[in-house]
Amino acid sequence: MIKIFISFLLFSSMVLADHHVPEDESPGTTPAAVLRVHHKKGNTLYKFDYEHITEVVGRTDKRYTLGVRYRFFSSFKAGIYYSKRYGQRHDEDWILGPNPPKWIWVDTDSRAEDFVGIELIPRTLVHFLPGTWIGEFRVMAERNFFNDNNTIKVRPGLTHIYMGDSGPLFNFFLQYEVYIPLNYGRETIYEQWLYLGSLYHYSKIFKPGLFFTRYEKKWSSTDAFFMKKGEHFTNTEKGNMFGLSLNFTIP
Amino acid sequence: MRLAFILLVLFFIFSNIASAGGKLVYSKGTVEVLSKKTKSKMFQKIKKGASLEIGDIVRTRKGALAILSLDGGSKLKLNPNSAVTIKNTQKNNEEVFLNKGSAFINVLKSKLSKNAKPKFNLRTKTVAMGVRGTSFFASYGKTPTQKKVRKDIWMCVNEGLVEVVNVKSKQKVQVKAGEGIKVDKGQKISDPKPLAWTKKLNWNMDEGKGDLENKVSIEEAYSDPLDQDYD
Repeated sequence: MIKIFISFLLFSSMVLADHHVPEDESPGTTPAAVLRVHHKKGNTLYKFDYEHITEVVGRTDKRYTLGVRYRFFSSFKAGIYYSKRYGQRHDEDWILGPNPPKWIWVDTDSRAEDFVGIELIPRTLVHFLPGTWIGEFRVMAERNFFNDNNTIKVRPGLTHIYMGDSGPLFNFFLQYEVYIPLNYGRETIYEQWLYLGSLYHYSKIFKPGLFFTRYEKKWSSTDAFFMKKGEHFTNTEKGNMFGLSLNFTIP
Repeated sequence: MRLAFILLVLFFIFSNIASAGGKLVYSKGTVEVLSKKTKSKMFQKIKKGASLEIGDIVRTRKGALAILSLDGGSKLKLNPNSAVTIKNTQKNNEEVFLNKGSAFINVLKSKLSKNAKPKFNLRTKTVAMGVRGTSFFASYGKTPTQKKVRKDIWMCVNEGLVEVVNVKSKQKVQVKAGEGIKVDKGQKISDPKPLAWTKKLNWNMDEGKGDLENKVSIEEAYSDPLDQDYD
């Protein structure tokens, strides 16, 4: 009996030691914060955004973005942006670490990655709904120069604006975003994000907001993993975020 | 007996002619009239029930509100800091000039066909609005920063159809219910389209049906909801 028990323990430890597929790290609900400082001149918007996201406990995603947006028509804006991000995780970050050889996620908190993207933002008033509603269909094409990954992000959304006596007072938004990888990954949709939030238009300069996000990310095996293990995996990470946004528009 | 009847009819006719104009049916705050009849050069305060005549200029001061009932059957709600001149109150041919500020106009419904002549005309310094429908709102825009630049005109229709004509260029635009236009500095009339800021306008002119005060500022017309970020 004791022999069987010891054999079981040994077998279990061998299985754990050979655990080569990422474990589910779905973190429950984690905090996030966004600071936006925008300057508007005519139809041009200059923007600086900082996002601080704790996606998994112990891993922090920091994003610094500089961009310009131009309003070509009343209902169409387009822009370009450059973003430096830390703490990004990719499929290739699941590696076989040395001493003892063990499959682990690389710590990327201090690794800088450069992104450049273009965004197209058509939006319209949704007249058939009571009150003031705006429908938006944002499309972003983004390149990560760290690993040459190209991604299309599609983000339709609906915003309800509660108008005060002299302009918007509150707004509530619901957005759904998908990441479509163009030259990497084994999944058609890599990430999905659902955003629900509100912004208080305290003044034309300052708008604080709160948001809740539910996300789902897929991690899949790389060619290097397949070469080593001869198999594929897809791992899904799900989580929620609760965040605060501070938005400043400098006249 | 017959003579008495004729005299009675004549009395009604002449009494109507004497007051041909309208009546102030609601007032809040300071409402004043510059009466054409008295030839006074000073505005006089008036109260609910005051008779108005053709040529009278009615104005509201800060925080005031007035509802005029014109003899032709139409009603006009004058917002704070606004003024109108009553030009004509014949039935099916009413005409009012908006001197400043903004007003809601509720035209008596009739069986006029779509192609009939407008039965109510609201004029401003730059455009004339001929009304075939029932209710609309018109306002001067915010004060231009440069002198000698005409104010914008904003207009939106709640019910019916309004034909807007640029006095100078003769450009004509028909505005349907739910749509609005802007006449930029008195020049070109914009294409009619739904305007978000008009959704909260208070069209009520009946004291018994709740609040009469319109809380939407014309400044809001310049706050384009599509131009802001909301996430």
